[in-house]
Formats: sequence, C-alpha cells, structure tokens
Amino acid sequence: MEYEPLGVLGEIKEKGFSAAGDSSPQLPAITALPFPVARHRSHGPHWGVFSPRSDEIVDLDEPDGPLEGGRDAARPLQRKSRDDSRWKEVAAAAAAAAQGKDAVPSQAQEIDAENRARISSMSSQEISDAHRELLERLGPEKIKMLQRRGMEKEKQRFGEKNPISPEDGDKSAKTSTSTATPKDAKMQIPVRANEQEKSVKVVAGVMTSAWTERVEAIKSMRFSLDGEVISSSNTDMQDDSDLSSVAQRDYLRAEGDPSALGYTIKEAALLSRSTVPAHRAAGVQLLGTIFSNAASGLQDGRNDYDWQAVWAYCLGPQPELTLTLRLALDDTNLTSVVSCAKALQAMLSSSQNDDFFNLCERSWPGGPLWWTAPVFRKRSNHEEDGYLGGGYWKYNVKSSELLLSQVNNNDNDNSDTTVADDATVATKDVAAGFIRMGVLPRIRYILEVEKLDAAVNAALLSTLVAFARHSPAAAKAVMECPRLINSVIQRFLLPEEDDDTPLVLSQASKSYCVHFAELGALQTATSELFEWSYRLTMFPRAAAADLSKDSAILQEALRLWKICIFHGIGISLFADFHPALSAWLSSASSGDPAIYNLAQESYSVLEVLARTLPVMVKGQQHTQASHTGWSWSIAVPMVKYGLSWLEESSQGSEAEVMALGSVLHFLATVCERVRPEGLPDLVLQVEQAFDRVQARLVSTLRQSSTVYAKLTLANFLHATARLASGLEKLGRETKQLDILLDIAKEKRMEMVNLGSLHGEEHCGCTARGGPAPGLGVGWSSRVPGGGFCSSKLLVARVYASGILRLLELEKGSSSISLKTKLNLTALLTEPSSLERALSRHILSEERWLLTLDDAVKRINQGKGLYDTTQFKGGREFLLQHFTKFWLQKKQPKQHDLKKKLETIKEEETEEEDEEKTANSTVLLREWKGTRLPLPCHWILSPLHSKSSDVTLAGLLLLLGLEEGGAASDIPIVRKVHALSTVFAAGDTFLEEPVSDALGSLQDIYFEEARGALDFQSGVDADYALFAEGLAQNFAAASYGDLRFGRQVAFYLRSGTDVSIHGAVWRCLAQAEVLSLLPPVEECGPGVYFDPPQRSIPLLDMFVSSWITGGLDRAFLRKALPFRLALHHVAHFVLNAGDDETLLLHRQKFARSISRASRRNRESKEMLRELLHYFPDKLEQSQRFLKEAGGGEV
Amino acid sequence: MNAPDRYERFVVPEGTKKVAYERDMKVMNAGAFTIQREDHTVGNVVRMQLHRDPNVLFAGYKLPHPLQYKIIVKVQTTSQSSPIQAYNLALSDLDKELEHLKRAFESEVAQRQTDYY
Repeated sequence: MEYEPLGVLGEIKEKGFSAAGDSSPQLPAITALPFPVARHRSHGPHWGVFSPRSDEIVDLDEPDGPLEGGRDAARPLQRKSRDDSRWKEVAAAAAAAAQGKDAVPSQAQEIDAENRARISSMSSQEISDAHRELLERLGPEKIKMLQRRGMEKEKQRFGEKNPISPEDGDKSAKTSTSTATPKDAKMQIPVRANEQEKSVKVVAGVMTSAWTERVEAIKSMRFSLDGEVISSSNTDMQDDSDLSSVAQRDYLRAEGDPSALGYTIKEAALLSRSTVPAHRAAGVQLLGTIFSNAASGLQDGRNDYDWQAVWAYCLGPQPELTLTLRLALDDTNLTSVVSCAKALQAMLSSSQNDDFFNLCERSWPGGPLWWTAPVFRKRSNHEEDGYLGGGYWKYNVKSSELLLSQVNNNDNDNSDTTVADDATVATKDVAAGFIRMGVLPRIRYILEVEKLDAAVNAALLSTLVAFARHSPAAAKAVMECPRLINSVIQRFLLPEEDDDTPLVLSQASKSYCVHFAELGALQTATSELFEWSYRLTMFPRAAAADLSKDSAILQEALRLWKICIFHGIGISLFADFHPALSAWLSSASSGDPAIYNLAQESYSVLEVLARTLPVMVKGQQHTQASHTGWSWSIAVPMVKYGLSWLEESSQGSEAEVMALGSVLHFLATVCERVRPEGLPDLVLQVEQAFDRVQARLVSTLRQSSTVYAKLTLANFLHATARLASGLEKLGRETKQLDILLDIAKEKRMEMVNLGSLHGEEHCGCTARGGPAPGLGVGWSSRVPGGGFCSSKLLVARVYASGILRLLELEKGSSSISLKTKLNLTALLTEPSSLERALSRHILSEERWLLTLDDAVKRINQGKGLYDTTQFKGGREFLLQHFTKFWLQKKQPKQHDLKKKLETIKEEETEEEDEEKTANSTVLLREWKGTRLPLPCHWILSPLHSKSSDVTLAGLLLLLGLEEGGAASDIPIVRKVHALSTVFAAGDTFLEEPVSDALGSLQDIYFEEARGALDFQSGVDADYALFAEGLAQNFAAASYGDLRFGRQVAFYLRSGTDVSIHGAVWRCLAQAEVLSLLPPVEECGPGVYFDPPQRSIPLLDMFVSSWITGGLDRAFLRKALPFRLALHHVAHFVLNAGDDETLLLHRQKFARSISRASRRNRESKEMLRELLHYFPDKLEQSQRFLKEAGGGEV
Repeated sequence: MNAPDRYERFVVPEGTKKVAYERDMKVMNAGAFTIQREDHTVGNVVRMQLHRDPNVLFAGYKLPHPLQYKIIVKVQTTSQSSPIQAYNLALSDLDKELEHLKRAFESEVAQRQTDYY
C-alpha cells in the first residue's frame, strides 16, 4: 500500500504530539509552575472583591461555559484572551511552545521537510503502524479539527486575511474561541437563572478561581518606567521563559508587544536578564518602582488599579522575580546592583515596616511587635474542633527550609538540595527564598568591598533589617552569617551613622543582645550619649542648637539601650547617662519637638527601668538577694522630673502629648511597684500632679486625623487609664475620669467596626498563603489600608486596651455596652491584656451574675425551674476554657513554664502578671502557634468543648448575651452551627439545664434566621460531612428528643445547599427516623417551603422515601418531613408549568407514587393529600396523575 | 502493624457479658443495650425489627468507634412496654422470621433438587 502523508503532519509535530517513531530527544518540560499553585498565599477566599470600575467587576464563574453568556457580554472583550489562556494547555504543550514561538513559515517548511525525510526513511509497515497509532490517539473529531486548522493555515499562508486566528496556528487553541466569538452571538444563548445563581455562590474553590483571574490579569498590565500602570494590553503574552538565543532576544526584542507603550512585569524581568548592562539596570529599576508603587497602593487602599493583585503577582508563586533580583545583586554592573538594592527594599516593604515599627515603639509597652514572615492558619476540621475555625498559625516556610547550616559552611553537604528547592522556597516566601539563595553574604560583600554611597548602603541595611524582622530563624541567619554583623557595626556605628539592625536583632532574643553588648555595640552607640552629656553640661547653648539634628540617632541609641535594659543588660550605665538624660527629662516647656521626642524616648527607657524596681512595701524595699535592677534611691528623683512635666506642660502639640503619655506610663509603672503602705508622700505628690494635668491639652488632638495624632491620643488615654488605675489601687481617686470617658465613647464606634472586620477576616486564612503580616504591611481586603500590621489597627488596639482599662475604674453601671466591649476585646492581640479584659469585663463577677440572671429568666419563663446561684461556678470554667483555648500558645515549652513557676513569689499578686509577660525574654511576638487575633465568634468556643460543664456555662453565657442583645454581631450561621455541635457530641443535650438552654436559644434563632443559612461559606466548604454526622447521632442516640429534632430541621430549610439537605435526608431515611422530627409548627415555620425545590436528586429522595413507606409514620404524626415532601413533590409534579425537560421526571414521580398507593391505607391517604394540595386544580391534577400512572388511580 | 487481632472482632473477652443493659436516667422508659462483638449486621436488623413494634417510640444503634467491636442499641418505649421487653420480643420475632426464612429456603431447594433429578 502506498502511503500518502496527511497534509496536517507538520502541524501535529508543531502542536507537541510526538510523531510516532520520532526518536529525537524531547525538549525538557518547562519547570516553572503555572500561575496558581496550591499552597500559596495567593490562594484562598480572604481576598475581597475588587471593583473600582464597573467593567473590572470580577466574575466568580467559570470563564467560558455557555451558560454565562449574559455575563460574558457585559465583560470587555479584551479580557477574554486572558480568560481562555488555560495554563494546563500551556504546560502540556510546553515542548511545542518552544518551537512554536518562532513558527514563521520558513520554519514550518523546515519541519515539514524533516517530517518528509523521516517518512521516506521508514518502511511502509512502520509508517502504517505509526499512522494507525496516530489515528487511535487522535480520534475522528480531533483529526477533523486539525484538518480544518490546517486549511486555515494554508489560507493564511497565501495572504488571505483571516479574522479567526490572527496569530500563528499554534496559538489558535488559545485565542480562536475568544477573540472570534462575537458578543451578540453569545448573548443569544439562554441563561438559566438557577444555574447562574449557583455559579455565583461564593464557595472557596470558586473564590479562588476568581482571585486567580485577577492575578492573571496583571500579566498583561503594562507599566511605565516610573512604575505607573499605563494600560492592560490585550496582547497575548507568549511564554518567553525559554527563548533560546539570548543574543537574538536582546536585539530583536520580539517577545510580547515590542512596539507597545510600557512594559509588562514579565518583560521587565526579561529585560533585566539582558546582555546589555543598561538594559539590566533599567529592568531592575522598573521592577523596583513597580514594587514600591504596588506596596504603597495596597497600603493606601488605592482603588485606581488592582494593586492587591499586582502585589500578589510580584511575590507570586513564580519564583521568577525573586531569582531575577537575586541575580541582579550579583551583577558586575554597579548601577544594576544599586537599583537592585532599592528594588529589594521595596519588595520587602522595608519603609512601610519601618514606619509601622516606629509607631509601635512609641506605644506602650513597645508593641505588640510581630515577626513579619507570611503565615497561614491551620484548617479547622470536623473531628478536632468541629469547624470552629480560628486555628493556630503556621509559617509558610519551615525554619529548617531556610537552610541555616548551609548559609555558614557554603557547599559542604548540599548535594541533595538543588536550585529547584531554592525556587520552591521562594514561591512560598520571598524573603526566605532570598536568604536561602545566600543573599546575606552577598550583601556583606557589597558593604565591605564595594563602598557604595550612603543611600545604597541605607537601602541594603534596611533590607537586612527586613530580613532580621522576618522570623526567628531568619534573625538567626542574619546573626550567624559570618562577619556580617561585625562589618555592619564597624562600618556604620563607628563613623556614627544611623542604623537599627542591632536594635531589631536584640529585640529578637536575649542572647543576641548579650552578644551585642560584648561586641561593644552598645558602648559605641551610646558614646553619642556620653558626648552629649558632656557637651550639654559644658556648653548648654551651643549644643542645644545641634541637638535637633542628631535627635534621630540619639533616639535610636536610646531604643537600643532600652532593649538591653529589657534583657537586664546595661542597667548600670544609667549613672553615666544621667546628666544627658536629665537635660531633656526636665525640659518640659522647651517647645522644641526634637527635645520632646528625646524626652519621650528617655521616659520610656525609665519606664522599662522602673519595671526592674523592687516592690516597695511599708517604706522599705523588698529586696531579693539576687536583685540586679534599678533602685528606689535613683528612681525617686526621676519621678520628681516626671511630676514637673505634668505641671508644666502647656501647648498640646503632638510631640508634647506623646512625651506626656510616656511620662504617665512611667509614673504608672512606678505606682504599680508600690504597695499601698509604701511611699505615701510620693504617691500623694503623683496624685496631686496628675489631677492638675490639663485634659484640655488633648482636646486639640481630638479633631486631628493624622495617624500620629491618633496614636498620640490613644496612647495618652491608655497611659492615663493605667495611672488612674494604679492610683486607685493605692487608695486614691482621680478627677479625670469623666473627660476620658467622653473620649472613649467618642472613639468606640470607630474601633468597634474595625474590630469585627478584623476578626472575621483573619478567621478564614486557612490555606497556606494567608496574608503575609509584614510584607506590604499585612494585606487586607476589607479594611482599606489595614492588614495585620497597619497603623490603623495599631491605633485601634491601643485605644481598645486603653478604653477597657479605663472602664475598669467605672463605678456602677457601665457607660459602654457589653457588645461594644466584646468588639473591643476582639481587637486585642496580647494574651495578657485579653485575659484581663476577660476577667474584668466580659466575665467579671458582677457581669456574670447579670448574664446569668438574663439567661435563667429566659429558661424559666416564669416557671421557676432553676435558680441563678446554682450556675455561679460556670464563670471559673469559662475563664479556664477561654484562656486555655484561645490564649495559650500551642506547645508551651516545659522549661519556660518551670522558670515562671519559680519566679512567682508569695507577695506578688495579679498586677505583676501583666508585667511579667511583658518581661519575658522575647520582644517580638510570633504568630506561629497562637490563635490570635480572635475570630468574631470566639465567644462560641465553649460550645465546642468536650466538657459538659463548660458547655453548659457557654450556653448560659450565650443566652445571657442574646437576651442583652450583645451577641448580634456574631453571624447567625456560626451560632446555629455551635448549637449543632452540642447535639452532635455525645448526649449532653439530654441533661436538664443544657436541654432547656438549647431550647431557648433555638427559639431565639428561629426568630433571627428568617431564611436559608449558607453553612458552606459561613462555616466550612465540607459542611455536608458534619451535617451527616449530626443526623446520624439523631438517629442513633436522640430518643427522638424534640430539641434535637428542631436542630436537624435547620438543615432542611428550603434554600439550604442541596448537598447538606440531601445528606441529612438520606441519613434520616436510612435509619427510618424521619417520623421523629417534630411538626413544622415547632420548628419556626415559614422557611421550609419557599421557593419550591427543583433539584431532581433531592426530589428523587423525597419520592423514594414516600413510596418505600419511610414517610408513613411521619404522615400519621404530621411530622416535618412529610409536609416537606408533600409540598415540594406537589409543586414539582403538579405545578411545574410546561417545561418539557422536566416532564419525564414529573411523570416518573407521579407514576411511582400512584403505584405505591396500593401498598397500605396510609399511602392512599397520602396520595389523597397530594391530589388535594391545590384544591382549585383538582381535576387537572387527577388527569395528570392518571395519564402518568397509566390509569391506575 | 498494631492492628487488633482478627479474633477480637467476634470473641467476647472473658468476664464480659455479651449484652449489657443500662437504663437511661434522663429519659423515661428508655435504655441502652451494649452488645459486644457485633456490628451493623446485627445492629441494623435489630433496629428495624424494633421499629415494627408499635410500642417502641425510638430505636437506634451506633458503633461508637470502628475499632471498638461493640454496638449500642438505644430503645425507648411507651409505658405499656419496657425496653427489655421490646428487645426480647424483637429478638424472638427475628428468630422466628429467620427460622421461617431458612425453612422456606431449604424446602424450596429440596423441591428444586427433586425436580432436577
């Protein structure tokens, strides 16, 4: 048989199908991952919907299903090209793409010639074998399609204009459907509302794909050289990563759209890999500006472009940009290195972080500061916590993956690790990737050898700071990088330049701090102080003029010292610095902001020192033998300085109030170290001075809107509250409360809103790749410009703790509602202050009794079943539960605990506890292993507890809160779910007070939930599993309990997702317990029937229960399931209109039911009910049933 | 590796009763039978038989854990009966029914065999 090659063979080869018998080596598959890989930060539904302009509305549906025609029409056509670029196809056709790129006709001919040559060299048997194999693999449709495409290509080659595929044939798979499909053609396709609703439903998976599309859009975004977005071009970006010839690439610049304005990110990255140095520098520079624009756009919540997506793309799962920057840092061209340093700085968002950490330093107690490494939350699961959510945080990258050992001894034993591992790490966490790729030694080299100018060094240093702030492991890497710290100290501290790397590192751990002290960094840094103290004493006038210039450096030095003191180092230096300090400690009325700043810093140093004071009892120091802290003899004069501030302060400028706040904090700490009997004179003086503080000072700040002013005010409030409570403990009272309470009330609403958003948002970050708390200052979609580490939240936190502290002092009924207090509490992130808020506000003795009263009143309903006193002990259970569940770290280290236990002395009481936590060895707090911030439904956690005591107390608390209207901010889905967990676990629900409390709560929620409940998006995507477990427990252990039945009914509402509804029904039907559900009147009627069910599988279940007798007893008892089945089946079978597609199903159901009616008396009655369901359509119904059943009725 | 031995699924350990009854203190006329070394096979059939009894208000069973080879059957009856009575009745009825089934099967087989030869 003579073989004739098909005309399409060339194209087949081009498409990446290896022709049969082709022995030429395959090109390696592209290793870069397609954009959304699992387990990355860009994953997950915590991203809000971005809609700056109407045409940018993010679609949640699948991009090209025919049913979304209407939606597609509303979307600008240009987006289609991206939508259709299916990554899987790209990856599969990887090898083909390599060749397809340059698929100019000449090459196609070449391929063709090659193919012909190969064919001629094959035997006819081989050829026919190959032919058959090909045909088998392709199938007739594909062949036809390829042939058609071959024809098209043929036409194109002859110069015919072809509107369908403007690009090369290899691209047509991606573009032909998209660009060619005219708008109106799609619009004609009917859209079924039902389907569309389903596609919009925000379940995690769909949300992720919407987010993916947003990030994909960034690929085609073009940026100008200063990093601004020019346009989103619709050019289909080719996959450029494998352009084989660098030289050709550089001079031809054929990738993308060379003539278009601006560059895409990808093009910029390619540009920075050019052989021409100037190209590289420009490319890196461009990347840097894009980073900084994205970070600031994200932080300011700018809406002009989708900055959130830009930022995610930059740090995205393609390690490309990380690799590019890392390579650029090794460049021989200094300009590139300089640009790269700046780009790095922007990528790690150093400046934003610096600002934030600066603000943090200024608020008491110097924090909370958090490590900035990206984290994600442990997914809540059904067995462990019953989908409670708010799991423990974990790092994206394990500390072992940072490869600490190999940063030290370069390539000794890294034989089993490859560059690909580096890239993998970089995909998960950019900063970790950099460290792993050895960026630290390189930075050291640049610092040591290149001697670049100050600006570059500053950029590099702030990069170092960013790395040190990343995570404990990264800080260790920075510390242990050979000679790095030494050279930093040598080069920058000695010539007296500003640097705060040591500062950050010493926050990290005590041992580092000791190390610094040994190195002499402290001495060097504080030599400034020596010098100043000398100059100030000798030439007070001249020095004062220079002071403002150097104040920034001095502040840093003071901070470093403060941290050293925190770790118990350098306390003795106080005597040396005293003259300098006293100069600005006493200059209350100087009016110079620089001095105020210094004074503020100095007082916070004093505050830390004061924490080391021994406790003063009855006029004498209670000295421990090993005491190494400050002594009262020095402290008392300092207090006098502070008092003079309180009296002299006048103007109310920001800096002054800030300093004043610091003074107050200092005094408060001093007061906390005094027992009521100790130092009465001093305390009296403090009290008098405090009363004279002009609260009007603050009034000017109340209108101000800058972040700094807000923080100042919040800090002042907090300080005053602390001092007032300190004084009260010493038996004094203050007159300031009213004014402060005014401020508190004014601010609380703002805080409350922030608080609930905050908690809700961070609850859902369960996929690896939740928001990075540090990079980009914590991403946030719901609060513009407010993520984890944003100034907005910082201010809110300071306010929250201040207000709560202040409210402790209130006598009588509280001026702020419990609901507000709950929201304020959710803002706190420090375990110690949370504990305090819990025990003194939410669950204070008084409050608990009130709550109980409300709850018991509701349960009793006038019958006097229970008495409040019998539940009093619940408070202890709850406190223990909350502390253990939410506030404790995951694995408290054994030796840490022991240490704490040893230090607890008899004399110390609760107020020291707070200080002790503040005094623990680590200043930066890790997200890892904690559950904070609290999710908005944290109050529900006792209901998930296994102990029935805790559960009961939790129920009473919830009931009390509901009665008082304080729980209305918690989503109803969560509350219903929490009740369900009580039923699903064991048989606690049968116990007397528990069951009554559950019943009362159900009554409330029947009222509150007037519609379908979306458990899948509200609680967990796999909710059907849980619902099934609940139904099983109902069947196995409920004894037909009325309350349990009512709870199950929550899942049978109309509009509940079919999977949940179906799972519950199936379970109940199999166990024959449908009849045990209560009548519909008992379960909050009005939510079960509208709209009528249209889901065939569900109706099928109804009908099969009907005909197998599963509903017989339910019919006799008028139970909910019979009413449900009757209603939905009647509406579907008898009232479905003329939809032809459903007719078959309707007839089938009608036939089954009428046949089954001969089974027994009940089923006959049931059929009669069905027939009479629509009394006005009786005849019609009869006719339909007769027709369907073949005359059997 | 540390899977329990096979025989543990059906050999009742010494000193343990095959069936233990515990009255439920929270609910009237209710109780739980713990049947050792049985699973869904017995649990389901007993439950279904109990459901046929008009005096039984509730009957359900569960396997508390896949590796604990026991089932717990919970029964609640009207005041005319008691869980133990209902349980015994259900078992004897089942016994009769199965006996009948067996006999019918055997006679049918015998009939067929004579027809065949």
